[in-house]
Amino acid sequence: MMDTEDEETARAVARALGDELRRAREAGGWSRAQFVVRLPSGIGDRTLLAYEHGLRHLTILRLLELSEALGVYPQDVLGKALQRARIHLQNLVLLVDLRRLLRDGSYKFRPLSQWAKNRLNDVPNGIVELPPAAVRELAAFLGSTQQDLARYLAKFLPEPSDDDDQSYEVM
Amino acid sequence: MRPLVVLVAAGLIVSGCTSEELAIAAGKPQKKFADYLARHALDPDSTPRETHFMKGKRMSIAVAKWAMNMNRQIGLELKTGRQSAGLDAAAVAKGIDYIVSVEWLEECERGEHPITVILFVRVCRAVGIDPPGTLRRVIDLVGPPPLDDPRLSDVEGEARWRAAFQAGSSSVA
Repeated sequence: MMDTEDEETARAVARALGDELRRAREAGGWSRAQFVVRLPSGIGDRTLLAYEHGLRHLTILRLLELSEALGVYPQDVLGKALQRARIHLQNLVLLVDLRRLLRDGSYKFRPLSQWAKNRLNDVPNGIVELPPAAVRELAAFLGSTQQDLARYLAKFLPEPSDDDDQSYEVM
Repeated sequence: MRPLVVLVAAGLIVSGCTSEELAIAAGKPQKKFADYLARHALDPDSTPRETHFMKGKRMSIAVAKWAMNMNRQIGLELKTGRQSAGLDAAAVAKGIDYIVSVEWLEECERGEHPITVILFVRVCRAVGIDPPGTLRRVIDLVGPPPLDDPRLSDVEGEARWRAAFQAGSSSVA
């Protein structure tokens, strides 16, 4: 059986995933009732509401169906949800908005500012993808753990308004 | 009253009215009226409800095959990840706190069950693979759901036969 922490983690993943789906739906300008008629499975708006609030668990197939109807990539929805919920970050490719990172004044991770400034010269939209190996190396350079740095970097997920240019630079 | 409103709305949609015109005719705010029509699958501004239902008896064969392939490929990716990590199914089941049994996990790896996102993420974490990256790989291999292929729609096929019959043609392209 799951203990309380695991249940809480599962709930957090479901909530974050639902939140991402809701953001994508609202970005498309659909109400729940308008959106469900586009779905081939014919689910009701209450079921969609339960998904969006994390009250009902999605199968991968349902995630693909919803993503297809929303016009977004399911892997992006999942990645952003996990990053936003800061769950399972150790194996996750993190999306980092360098401009938001530069505005943050964390003393512990101050050397990252220079790195972010240098990277901004190469990346016009200011968004980079950081694979786990890169986070590990940066953490070693900063004298931090991969987990701590990943949790810090996860804060700088690009906001939806910044997502118009979907090309990311992989480090 | 409600069935009557729906019938009238359906008639007006067939005659080419937009949801704005219908809302004005009904004396309701446009968004509220659009929501009402959408609940009854009568929204004239949206694409009509697809005929490729993804569950139940009306699921098209193509979608059922796609879903089966998708489940198998997800299972295969998880099994490959587990074997690369040198773990057996029992160790993975223990790593995910036995939220499912070892037998269920093995059946999921064979693609016999649709896997939930939560379980997928947990197994990915237990075997040390990137969940979004794994999902991207699966989608690249299997492809998107075949919802836009007109050859696969029973209703569209029937409509084409009907049109051909009415036109007096015996052959359908």
